[in-house]
Formats: sequence, structure tokens, C-alpha cells
Amino acid sequence: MGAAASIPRFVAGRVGGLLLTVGVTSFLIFSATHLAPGRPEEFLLRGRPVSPEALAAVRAQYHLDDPLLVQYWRWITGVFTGDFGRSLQFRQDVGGLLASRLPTTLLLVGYASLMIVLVGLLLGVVAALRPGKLDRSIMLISTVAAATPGFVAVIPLSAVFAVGLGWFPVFGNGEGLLDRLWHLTLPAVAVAVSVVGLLARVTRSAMLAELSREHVEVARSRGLPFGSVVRRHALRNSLGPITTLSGLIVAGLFVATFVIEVAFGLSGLGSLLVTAVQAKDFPVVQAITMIGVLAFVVTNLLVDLLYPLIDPRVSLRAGVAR
Amino acid sequence: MTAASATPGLIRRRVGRLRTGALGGWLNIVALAVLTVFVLAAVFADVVSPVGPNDVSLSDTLAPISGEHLLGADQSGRDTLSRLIYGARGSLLGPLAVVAGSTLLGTAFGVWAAWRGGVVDWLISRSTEVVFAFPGLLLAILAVAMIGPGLTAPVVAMVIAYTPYIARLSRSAALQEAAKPYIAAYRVQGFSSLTIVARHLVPNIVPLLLAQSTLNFGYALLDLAALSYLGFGVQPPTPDWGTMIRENQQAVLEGVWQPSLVPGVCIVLVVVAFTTLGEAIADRVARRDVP
Amino acid sequence: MTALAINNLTVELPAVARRPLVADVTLQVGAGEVVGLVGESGSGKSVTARAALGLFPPSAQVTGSVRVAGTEVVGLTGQALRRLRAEQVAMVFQDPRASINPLRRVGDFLTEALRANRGWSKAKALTRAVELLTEVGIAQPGVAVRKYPHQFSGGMLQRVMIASALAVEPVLLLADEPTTALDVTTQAEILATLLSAQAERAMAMLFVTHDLELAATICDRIAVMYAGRIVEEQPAQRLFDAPQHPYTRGLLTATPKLPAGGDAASSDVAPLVPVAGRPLSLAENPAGCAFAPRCPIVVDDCAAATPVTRVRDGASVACHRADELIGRDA
Repeated sequence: MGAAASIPRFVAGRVGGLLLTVGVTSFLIFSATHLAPGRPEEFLLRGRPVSPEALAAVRAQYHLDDPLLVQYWRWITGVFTGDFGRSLQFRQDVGGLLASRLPTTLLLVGYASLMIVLVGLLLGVVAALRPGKLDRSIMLISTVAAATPGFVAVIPLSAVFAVGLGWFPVFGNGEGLLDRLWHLTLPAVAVAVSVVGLLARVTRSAMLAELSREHVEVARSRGLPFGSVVRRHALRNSLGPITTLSGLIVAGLFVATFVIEVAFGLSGLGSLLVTAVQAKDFPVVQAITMIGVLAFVVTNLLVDLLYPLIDPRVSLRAGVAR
Repeated sequence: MTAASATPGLIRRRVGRLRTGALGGWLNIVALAVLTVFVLAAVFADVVSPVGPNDVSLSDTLAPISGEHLLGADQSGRDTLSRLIYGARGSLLGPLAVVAGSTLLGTAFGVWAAWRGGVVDWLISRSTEVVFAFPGLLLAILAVAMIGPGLTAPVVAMVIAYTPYIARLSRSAALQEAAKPYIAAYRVQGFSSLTIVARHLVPNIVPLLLAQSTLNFGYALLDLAALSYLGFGVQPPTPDWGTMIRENQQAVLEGVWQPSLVPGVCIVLVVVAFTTLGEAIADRVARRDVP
Repeated sequence: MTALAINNLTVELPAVARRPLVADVTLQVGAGEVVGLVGESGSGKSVTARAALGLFPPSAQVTGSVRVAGTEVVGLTGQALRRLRAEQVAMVFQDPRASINPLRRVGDFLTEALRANRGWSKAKALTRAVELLTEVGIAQPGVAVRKYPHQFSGGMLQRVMIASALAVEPVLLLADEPTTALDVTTQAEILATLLSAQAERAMAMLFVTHDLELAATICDRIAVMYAGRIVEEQPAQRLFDAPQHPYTRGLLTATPKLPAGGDAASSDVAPLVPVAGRPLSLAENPAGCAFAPRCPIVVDDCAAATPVTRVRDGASVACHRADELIGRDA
């Protein structure tokens, strides 16, 4: 029993579950080509009429005569070595395409995550500590914000901050880190709007629950400064739900940014995915879908693994059946 | 899951419902009123719409708000209000199909898993976990890549993506319900499983599913609007709120924001209304269950 | 100087409760004295004790005076209130499991007040924490400070709680049912730890409990509370030998007692008589004596007016029939 013995089992269980999920999802993503209407080689040629010889060449190039499982195995081992096949649309390696697009998406996800966590925590803590008008206003705003998708938020954001005030650009990636961040500010805000209120709400309710706990009263009765009681006890103990939610938010951001990249004309994975779908460039679609799923499940796994650090009791919980 | 839009949907379904808390009961009435207006507008579009959704009047390109165009006109001189009213049809029908499909399938799978247990339960639960790994919007984009743009592929994909949430919910609710004495009483009296499940068990978990499905309606609307915005959903020239935002986004840079902002506001209004109502129903269910 | 002087303290929650949580309470605890505050749950004993920390329920209306070592606590806020809690008064709470932040190490719990309130370095505070843990009887204190609360038993955690209270070097120690949440076997050890620490430092202690007999064994003086009021106050031994208020008498006859040296089955066992009726809820505020509905010697006058507290020979009692009772016992 004990904490020490159960942590490896906890980690092994989670990683095992993840591998199983990734295995099944990747197979589904790969076999999507074969599930699509029409024969795969026609699909791969995107419906262009070609000679039987060309068709045969395509079948050979993509090993379409091998059994499906063999084809899948070739693809998935490639994926884990960075070989995603060749783009039909750009006639170059998908891996290279992704590598050139990935930084923008990652930067946007990181930037938006930072904004969401900082602003969400701040709003949630303020709402918990200042009941009344301020609390109610923050809750009302967060309800509306949660219903505002990024591509809707884009409109007022660009109308006010780009066209009206001229503070931020509304198009392009920018050069160099600072310029990039400047270009990514409005997109990051647009991505953040709908989830920042969600984090604020969860922070607020977790904080309120903790503030009413006895150990917080005890901390106050010991003459600790108010800020220290809030930080070291109420907020510290609220980190469990806050981290879980933040993990889900960041995991979801990968896909959320895809739409925003299109809205702001940023050349990231999302805009690549959209053009690939339009061009029926299936290797690219498969690769990006796979990356989206991986980012999602890996982020969730990381949060799970982080949890014992946040709550020292969790290792016991995992080890002892309830 | 998806767009900035869908992300909260996904997270809410995973983290559990959040109480509206400080917001009062009058909001429910406002929410109901908002939805009624939109539904009536969608149903009676032919009657209430000032002009046809695709009536082009080039002299009115990007016309401002006026007596002639109550909400202005778009890039092609089409009346924004009329397109909004006709657009409500697709924008509301899509999520309706998703919610209906996922609620039916999810309830069937969930109750089946709970009632049968064993291998059936294991299989359904594992499949549920696999689908959870797919952000719904990503699944929908994959479906569009396979089948092609239009409402069909996204709706089918969304039904698949939303079913596990209902399945998980109905499974746990059905497990709780099945453990109650009255179910055992029916069994002893020799009623068939199907009769007990269909006539007694399912009706008792319906309010809970209704709450979740109401919330899901809002999230599905956000996801489908995002797909339309990307050009994968409802195809032009058919009006749709997501498509309208995409078509008129360029005009914002020219200082004309209402043709794209107005459909955006409609999306927000409808989603807030569904969220409010869904949480209100969930609150009532919670109060009924905890006397 | 008296460590704690409470005068005519009244705490009301107009929005929640119809009667005051605490009404017109007057109580003194001298330096080095151990005073017991005894009553049923809801009698106001915990509210009274917490008043010494300036810890009142939110939105409570407070009148009267609470002085700790001469400092007025009622109305104290901000820095001054923090200083009172950091330097003058410490409290041991009922449930150590709920009172210590489960997510922080025990060493952190012990040192954080010393560091925040006295500006001590982490190393210095930790050295002190280890000393205190040794004093309260925790084996391997150097290891203990690195553990988390869930790795301790309830009794061990309560020792940690006592150590943290001692770290304050308080003038007044409040103990709110410090053994109630613990196993019977550990209760005596915790009491011994608490009392030896108290005696060594000559601290004043206010000991809150529902157990009159326990209070009688460890306290110098006992005040009995009923429905927010102190109904009787006497030196411990005299209260035990000659209880005056009918409620105190009821409490004593309701306690099972074994005759000295006898066995439980013998016929010498005093008859067990529970106090009839039920305690007053916060929604009730009858006129007159709050104990009247349960009182075995109630007369018509009892419902007419709240009895005044009468003092005689160092004993004070709030009962309309106090004179007769004393006469009967003498």
C-alpha cells in the first residue's frame, strides 16, 4: 500500500489507457481514407481522370495492395518518426509542411493559455472575495463570454482595436518574436474569450468552497495576513479543480486556434487543415487530425500526472480502493 | 473541442455543470422569450422576412441601418435581417438534429450498458472513451474531408461526438435507478426487461437527459456555426449565421461591422438562452433528487 | 492582570437566529488559571471562546466588552486584530483533521505563523517547530515536519495543533473540545499534554467542553452555559459537590458514575436521570428563564422574567429560586 508503491501503478495505468486510446483513434483516422466513398486511389487523385497506368502507380506508391493493417502499421510507425507521407496538394513531405506551420499554432496556444490562466484566475478570485455587485457582474459577463465563439469575438475585436484604434494588426504572422506576439494578440484574445469566463467560474466556486473550510478559519485565527490566507490556503487548495479545467482548456485550444487562424489569416496548422480539406489532401488531413488528438490526450494525461503533486492525498486515493 | 466556441462545450460536459449562481430566475423567462422569437422567425421566415434572403440589390452594397434595411445590407447588397431570419432555419435545425440523434443513441447505449452490464457495458464504456479523445470539431472536419461539405457530414460527426456524453450520463443514472426497489418489484412480478426499461426506467431519467440535451443544443450550435464559418457546413448562397460572419468579415476592415456582427450576436443570444435553460432544468432535477 | 475579561458580551445574528447566540455573558480568566466553559452544543460556549480571538460569525452584532490582557477585542480590526491573534491568544480546535490544511506539510503549518508574524527565517522557525513537537510528545519530530496531515493519526494531529498554539507563546490558550473528536484512549494523553504545557508556562486557559465531569477534573473554575447565558459559575470542586442551578444538577445526575471501588453491577450506582426535554433552538426566544420548560422545580415566576445573576461566597447563579436551593443544600 502506501504512497510510494501506488504512484508507479497510477502512472502505468494512465499511460496504458492513453496508448490504447491513441492506437484505436489513429487506426480510425487512417482507415477513414478507406471508409470514404469511392476507391482510395481515386480519392487520393482527387477525382482527376487518369490512365490505368497512373492509377497503378498510385496504388504502388501508397502500398494500397497491402492489407489494411500493414498499411496502417507503415503509417503509424512513420508518424512516430516524423514521417507523415507526402502532401498531394503541395507535393512535398507532410512533416516539413507541419514543421513550418507548427510554431505559429504553438505560440498562439501558449499565448492564449497564459492569458486565460492569468485573467481567469484573477477574475475568479476577485469574484470569490468580493461578493455582491462585482461578483454578479463578473458572473454575468462570463456567461455571455462563454457563449461567444472566437470567430464571433473577432468582429468586435478587429472593429475596435484594429480598425477603430489601430493598436493591433488583423492579418499576418509578423517577423521576430515581439512582432509575432503583437500580431497574435488579437487572435489570442479571440481564442481566450469563451474559456476565460469558464475558468473564472470554476475558480470562484472552488475558492468559495475553500474559504468556508475550517482550516481557513484556523489560519485566520492564527493572525496570518489576509493575503497569505487567500494565497497559501484558499487558492492553493483550489488548485485541483483549477488545474483539471486548465488542462482541458489547453487541450481544447489546439482545435480552437484552428478556427482563429483562418479568421486572422495566420499560417498555422489550422489554416493548413482547412486548405487540405478543401483540396482533399488526405495525408495532411490525417496528420493534423492525429496531432490534434495527440495534443488533446497528452495534455489530459499530463494534468492527471500532475495531480499527485497538487494533492498529496491523491496517491493514496489511487492506491486504496474506495 | 472546437472553436473557441466549442471548447467550453466540451469542457463543461467533462467537468460537469456549473451553476448560474447569482443570476436570478427572471433570466429563465428572458431566455425562453428569446428562443421563442428565434424559433417563430425560423418557422415563419416566408411571412416575417422583409425580402428574400438572396435578393441582390447592388446599389445597396453595405447599406447602413435604415428604414429600408433595418439591419443594413451585406457586401452583395442582400438584406441582413432577411438573411438572418432565413439563416435561423439552418442554424437551429442542425443542432436540433445533432441533439435528437445523440440523445436517442446515447440513451439507448447508456441504458443498454447499465441494464446488461458485463461485456456490453465494457464495450460501450471503452468505445465512449475512444470517442472522448476526438475533439468534436476535429471529427467533423475529418468527416467533411471524407464525405464533402454540407450539413450531413458535420451533423453525423457531431452526433457521434456528442453521443458518449449522453451515454455516460444515462448509464450512471440508469444504474442508480435500476438499483431502486420498485424496479426489483416489477421484475418479481414477471415484467419483461424491455417493458420495465421502456415504461419505467427511462421515463425516470428523462429530466436529467433533457437538461444535458438542452445544454448540448447550445454547444452543437457553436460547433456547427464554426464549421459553417470555415466553409464546411451550410453552403452559400443558403444563408446561415456562421456563413454570414465569414462572408462579411472583410467589410469590418472597411468600417462596416453590422452584417457580420449581427449574426454573431444571434449566436451568442441563442447559446446563452440554451445554457440558462439547461442549467435551470438541471437545478430542478438536482432539487427533485435531493428532497 | 486578568488574561481574559469578558463583560456583558452579547452576540446576535439578526438575520439567522431569533435569540442571541450569546447573551450578557460576563466571565474572567486569571493569569495561569484554567476555567471550564461547559454547555450543550448550541449553548454559545464556542462563540464565547472565539470572541477572545475576535472571531465572530459573519454579520454578527456584538455588544459588550472582551479584554485580553487589557486589550479590548470587540471592534478590533486589521493589524491590531492580527497582532492579538499572533501574540496573545491561541486556540486548539475540536477537529484537527479539518483544522490543518491537508495539502501542506505539517512543518509548513507550524512555521508559517512564526515566519509571517515574527519575520523568522525558515530555518529558525523549523528549529522551533521541532522543539515544540518534541515537547508535545511527537516521536522523530525532524521526520514529522516533512509529512502531510493525512499521514498522522487524529491524536498526533491534535498534538501538532497544540504545538502550533504553543508557538504563539500566548497569554491565553483557548481549547474548544480538544479531545471530543479523538479516540477515548488518546483523550487522556492529549489532556495531559495540554495541561503540562499550560502549567509549565503558567498560561491562562479557557477549556470549552460539553463534559462537566471532565471539566471538573482539570479546571480551577467552571462556568455553565445554557441557551447563550452563563447560568452558574463556581470553583470546580464546589460546583461538583454543590451544584446550585437546576440545569447543573441535571447535568451531574445525567452523567453515569461508578461508586469508588465498586463494580458497575452493584446497587450503589447512582440512578441515571437525563435532563428532560430538549435544548432551545436558535429559532426560539421565550420570555423569562430559557431553562424553565425543562426545569424540574419551575414556578410561575420563571416564565415572567430572565433571572438575574446573584453572587454569594464566590459562586454565582442565575435562577429565580437560587436562595431556596442554596438553603436546601446548606
